[in-house]
Amino acid sequence: MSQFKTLYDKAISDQKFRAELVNNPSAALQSIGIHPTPQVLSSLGTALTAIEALGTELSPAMNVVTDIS
Amino acid sequence: MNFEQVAELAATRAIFEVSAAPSILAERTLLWLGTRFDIQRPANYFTHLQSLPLLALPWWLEESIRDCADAEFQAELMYATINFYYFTRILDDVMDGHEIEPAVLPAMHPFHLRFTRPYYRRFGLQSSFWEHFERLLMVTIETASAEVVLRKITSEQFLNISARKTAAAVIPMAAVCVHYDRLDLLESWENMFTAFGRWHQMRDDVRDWSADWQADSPTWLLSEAEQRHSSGESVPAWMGREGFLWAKSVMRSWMDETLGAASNLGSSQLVLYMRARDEEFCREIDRTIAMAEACNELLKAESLLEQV
Repeated sequence: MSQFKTLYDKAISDQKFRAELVNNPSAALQSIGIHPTPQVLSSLGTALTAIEALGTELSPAMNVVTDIS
Repeated sequence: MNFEQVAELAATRAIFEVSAAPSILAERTLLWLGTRFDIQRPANYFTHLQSLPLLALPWWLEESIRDCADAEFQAELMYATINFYYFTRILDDVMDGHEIEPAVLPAMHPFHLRFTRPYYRRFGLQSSFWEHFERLLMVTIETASAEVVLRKITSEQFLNISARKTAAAVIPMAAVCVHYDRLDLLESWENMFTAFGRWHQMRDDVRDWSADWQADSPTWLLSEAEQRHSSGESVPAWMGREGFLWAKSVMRSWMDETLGAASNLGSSQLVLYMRARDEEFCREIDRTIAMAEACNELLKAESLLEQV
């Protein structure tokens, strides 16, 4: 599997990794064996912006029911 | 008293009884409960919007029969349900191989006793309630056992096993029906709950797909992923390309079925609840699908680099 397929798999399945990818992309990429050259970081820019915009946590905090009485 | 107050009363009583007489069992059980629930506010776990409405369904059913709920009766039903839930969570921890201190396991006895006692107090041994009690409890017990041995889950097994594990939640609804001599209502409430149970189980499977996949814990969703992914495509890649969309479509039909059934039961609160669950899930799954699309951009980066 290519390193970028590994990157995709980790990003879609691992919330912690996704957060690290947004907050510290160099460290996140190195952790899966991708050397974070300026070219690599630049090519990932659009994707990281889109992920950051959606927030890294997918499930919203649970809300308490207040209207069922 | 309103629903929240009665739920708080019942949940606090259940926790209080665990600790009423200081002992090793009480100490260890409270420690275990503290790792699973907020024991300072024990009702919250059961009244979260995203929880199964185990305490609210019998309340709404009673309101549909007589316009208002009997707080004392409902408090007993809630107390029974909460104790059954604690019993079941210990059993689940053992069955799932989660770490649980052996000293906690004997607490299953008092939890089960407190689950059944309110029903014994209210219904004579000849009451028709007990037929439904046994029938519903056996569905939960048999399906919990059957699911453990499955390594792959088909749609039929999901419908008949995974989604039916919560059948015992209908027991307090059966109690309401028998108490008010309205057993004619039970089938329609049970059918609604069965439809909702499918949706709720699938939602859990969608929400936890990554943890389940990493733990090699089979679900219908992951079994479909294993079967449908293309050659060379990983399970996460299939989830991103197709899985979330497929789950959304399956769940749409189940929620429509649930809403249709709920709308005929004479409970506006039930319909409001289902709509709220539906809306929240739609937001959640749409965001997940958008995230998958954003992650897909990561793959495009590789081809950009190849062009450099």
